[in-house]
Amino acid sequence: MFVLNELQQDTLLEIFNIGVGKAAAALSKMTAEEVLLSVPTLEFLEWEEARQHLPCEGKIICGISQRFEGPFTTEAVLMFPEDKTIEFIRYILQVDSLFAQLTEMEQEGLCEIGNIILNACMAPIADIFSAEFHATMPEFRMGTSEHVLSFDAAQANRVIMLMLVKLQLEKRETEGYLAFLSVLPDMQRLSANIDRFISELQK
Amino acid sequence: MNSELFLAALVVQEAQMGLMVLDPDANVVLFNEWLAKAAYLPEKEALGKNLLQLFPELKGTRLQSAVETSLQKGFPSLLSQSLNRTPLPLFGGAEEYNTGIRMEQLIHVIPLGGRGGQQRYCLVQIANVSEAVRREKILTEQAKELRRNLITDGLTGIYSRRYWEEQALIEFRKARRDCSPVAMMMLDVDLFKYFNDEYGHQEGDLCLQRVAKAAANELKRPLDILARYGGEEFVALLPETNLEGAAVVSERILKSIQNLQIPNRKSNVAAYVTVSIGVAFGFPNQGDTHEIILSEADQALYAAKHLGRNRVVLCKDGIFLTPCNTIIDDPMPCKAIK
Amino acid sequence: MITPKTVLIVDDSRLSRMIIKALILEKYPDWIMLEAINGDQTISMMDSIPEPDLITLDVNMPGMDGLSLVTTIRNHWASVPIVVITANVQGSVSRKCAELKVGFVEKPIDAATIDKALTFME
Repeated sequence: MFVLNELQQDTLLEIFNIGVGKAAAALSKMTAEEVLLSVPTLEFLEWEEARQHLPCEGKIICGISQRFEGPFTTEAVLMFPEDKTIEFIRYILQVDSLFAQLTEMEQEGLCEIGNIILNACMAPIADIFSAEFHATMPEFRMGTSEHVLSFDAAQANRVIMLMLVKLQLEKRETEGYLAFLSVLPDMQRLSANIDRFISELQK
Repeated sequence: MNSELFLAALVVQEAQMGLMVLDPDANVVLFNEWLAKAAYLPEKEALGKNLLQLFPELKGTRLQSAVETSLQKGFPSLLSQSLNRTPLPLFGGAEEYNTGIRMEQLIHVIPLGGRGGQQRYCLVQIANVSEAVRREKILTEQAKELRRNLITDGLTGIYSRRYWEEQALIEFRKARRDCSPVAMMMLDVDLFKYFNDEYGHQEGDLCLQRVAKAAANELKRPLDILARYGGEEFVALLPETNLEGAAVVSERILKSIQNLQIPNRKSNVAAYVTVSIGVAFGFPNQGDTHEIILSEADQALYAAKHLGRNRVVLCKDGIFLTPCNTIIDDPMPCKAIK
Repeated sequence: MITPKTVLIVDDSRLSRMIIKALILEKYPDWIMLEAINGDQTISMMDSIPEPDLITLDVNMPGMDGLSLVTTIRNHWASVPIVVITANVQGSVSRKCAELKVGFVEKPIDAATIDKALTFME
C-alpha cells in the first residue's frame, strides 16, 4: 500500500491546517462565535476500515460537499448532525424554528454557507501548491456519514486518505467536522507535489 | 460563423435565465437578452463596462467576492436566495420595476477557462426564484397553521400537552446552560367530576375554559407556558423562576379562580369552583430533570388535595410547605417578591 | 562580541519546526535553535534550559494548546518574549494573544512571517 512518508504526511497536515484556519475564521465570522478546532488527523485506510472511522457514526448528518481536482483530487465536506444543522441555519436566517425539516430555501442557504467555508479552506492550499484546482458547485446531502461522504461500492478495494478536523461552536453546543477524502491513485501525484513544495522551501 | 458557435450564441440569447460573462478584469463581455430585459439595461450599455461600474451597489458584497474568487482562484460560488435575496437590480416586469420590487435571485458564479495558463473568465448565472419563494411561503403558512392546531388544546385554547413537553425540553436545555432555576405547577380543578354530574358536560367544558383563561391571565411573561395536561388537570412551566416566585403566581391563580365564583353545589370545599395547586422547582444544571420536578409538583398537588383542597402546596427539598411558611423574614407573607 | 540568541520553537509539526529553524538560521546563522513538539515537552524542558530570548508557539497541538501554555511559561519565565505562529487565524485567537501580551503571526511561514515574529523580541 502506497502511503506518504512521515515528513510528507506532516507537511500535508500543516498545509490543510492553514486551510482549516481560514475556514474556521469564515465560520467564526458568520456565527459571531469562537470555533474550537481539534488537532487534525490524517489516516490511510482500506475502504471497509474507513467506513468505521467516519465521524457521527449512525447519526443522521447534513453535509455540503465540493470536489476539488488539481495536484490531487479531494472531496471536501463540511458536516453537522441534522438537528444542529437546522438550528444553525435558522439562527443565521433569523427565522422561527418550527418544523423538524429543512425547507428548500434553507437547504440552499446551507449550501452557500458550506461553499463559503470550503472555498476559504482550499484557497490557501491552492496557493501553497501554486496550482489550479477545478471545483464543483456545492452539493447538499443528508443521511448517514457513509451516504454524505458518498462512500459507495465503487470505492471498495481502494485505499482512502481521510483527513478530519472537528469544529466546535461552544455557545450553540454544536460540533461538526471538516473532512477531506482522497482515493489512492492520486497519492503518487500528491507525493510528488508535496516533495516539490518541501524542496522549494529548503532553497 | 461556424454553425456550432452560432447555435451556442442562440442558446445564450434565448436562455430563460440571466447569463453574464466577465473577463479577467471583471469587465462585461457577454450580457444576454433575459438579463438586459430584467435589468432594464440594453446590452450595448453593459458591454465593456466593469461590474462595479455597472452596479456600484455590489461593492463589498458577497457577489463581488464570489466573482473575485472565481477569477483569481477558479472556485465556483453559490449565492442562495435565502442569504442574499436580491443582489442585482432585476425586475420581473413593468409593474415591479415601477414599484421597485426586485425579483428574488439564485445566482451561480462559475469560473471559465483558466486551465493550462489560459485566461480565466467568469460566468454569472441568474435565475428568477420569486415564484418558488412565494410557493414556499404559502406552504410554510399552511404548515404553521397545522402546527398551531397541534400545539393548542382544542377546548381551552391554551397549549396542548404535546407542545408543553416539547417546550420543556428546550427550556431545560436553556436553563442548564444559563444555570437558572425552572419551576412547575400542577393544577387540578377540585371535585370536577361532581361538577360535571351536577351541571352537565357543556357546563363542565365552559368551566374548564374559564379556569384556563383565569390561570393563563396570571402568567404574564412570554416564557411561561400553561398547558392542559389531562381532563381537568393543567400544568405550568415557569423558566427562570424560583420557589418564591412560583408561590406568588400560584397564589394569584388560586385567588383569581375563586373570584370567578362559578357555583359548585356539590362541592364540600366551597360553594364555588376551586382548584388545588402543587408547586416545585429545581436547577437543571444541578441534575434536577423535568421528570423530577414534575413528580415533586404532582406530589405537592396530592398533598394539597389531602390537606383539604382549594390551596397551594409547595415542595422544597422534599418538604411540603404552604406559601406563608416559605417567606420567613418577610413580615408581609405572600406578597410579591420580585 | 554579541552572544548569539536562543530561540525555542514549539510546534507539533516537524515541517513547521524545520521551516522556522531554517529561516531564522538563514538570517542569524550563529543563533541557537531549540525545539519542543508539544506543551508537555516544553514544560519538562523549562527546568533544564536557561531562559531563551524568544519562544515561538503553535496553538493547535495535541495535549495542552499553545494559549494555555503561555500562562505556564510565564509562571516560570515572567518576561520571555513569546510569539504565537499559527494557522488558527480567527479573531478570538488574535484577541487572546493581545490580552496575554504575546505576539501573533499567521501561517504559512515564510521570510516575511519570520521577520514579523522576530520583532516581538524587542
